Amino acid sequence: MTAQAGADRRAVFERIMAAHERLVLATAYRLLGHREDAQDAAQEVFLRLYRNLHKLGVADPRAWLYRVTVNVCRDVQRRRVPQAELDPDYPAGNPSADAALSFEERKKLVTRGLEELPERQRAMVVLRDIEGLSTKEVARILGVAEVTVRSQISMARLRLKKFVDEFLRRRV
Amino acid sequence: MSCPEWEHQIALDAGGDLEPDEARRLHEHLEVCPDCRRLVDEMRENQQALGALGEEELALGSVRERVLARIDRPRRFGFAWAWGIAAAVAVAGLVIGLVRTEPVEPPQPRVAVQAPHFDLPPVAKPKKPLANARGSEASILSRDRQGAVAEPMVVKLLTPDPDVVIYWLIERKAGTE
Repeated sequence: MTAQAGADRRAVFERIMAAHERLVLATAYRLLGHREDAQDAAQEVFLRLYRNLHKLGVADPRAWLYRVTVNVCRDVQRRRVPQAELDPDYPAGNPSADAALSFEERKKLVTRGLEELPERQRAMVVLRDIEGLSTKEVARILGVAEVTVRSQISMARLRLKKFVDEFLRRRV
Repeated sequence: MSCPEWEHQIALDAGGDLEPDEARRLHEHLEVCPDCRRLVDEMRENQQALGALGEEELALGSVRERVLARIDRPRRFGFAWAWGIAAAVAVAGLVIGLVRTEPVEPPQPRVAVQAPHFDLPPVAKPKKPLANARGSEASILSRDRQGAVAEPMVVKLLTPDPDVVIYWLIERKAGTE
């Protein structure tokens, strides 16, 4: 590779990284629940991007970044020591005096509930409900059929609902 | 309690994932089922909370410097190269080991000189009890009805282990060869 080509590659890479760093970090954090793990995962994602920049060839690398982020986070989770503690700043769903759930509490609770979901369902909720991707995009990123996304995501949402209900039941 | 058969439809509807005709059928049901309407409201609240998470500014720092530092770090020895060379050395060692290995033959036992075969004269009556021949080279004399004794054939088998000696005592009928 010539020096000019190398400089061009570097410039393209830095531009993509700057534009999508938040996307990758946030997705990794939602999937892993731990800041340091999310940063490690994001670093790996961008290193893979650098190595495979020549293969991307598409104007919007988001789908590729999401897919690699999900895959890297899956690897991180499988290497994790069981019962690894969540980031202390990760919402813990502290109950308030009022029996009804405030919006902030609900946000914390569903965040906690995400951790209880199976890996695949968690990825679908993060991509569809948090990152706002379409069912079609989620299916393409995860390499599954759209009907699978619909089926899994409805189960995931019902599980989250049960998680919130259980918390409220114990609190009363 | 909401209707179990409508729960998945309600979960999909909360995220706007129902097809138009599915949504129409669900909404017809919701008109007559207050429990399912309650479930819809609760599911939508969760969906709104999830959506709001996507808008949050998370203080996760930046990995830009770390990534660039890794890219700029000089590679002295390629990781892939190191694994390739290690694998080649391992394969070469295995091949050499297989070529040089010779089959090991088990040691063949040495057979001692076979005891000579000879005829003893008949003995009318033994003067003392016969010795126990176990573990020794003593002969066991067998008698026929007339009191004639036939010398057993003794075969001593030496083994590679000097502490192990095998004796074969083969009784013969008196008067037979």
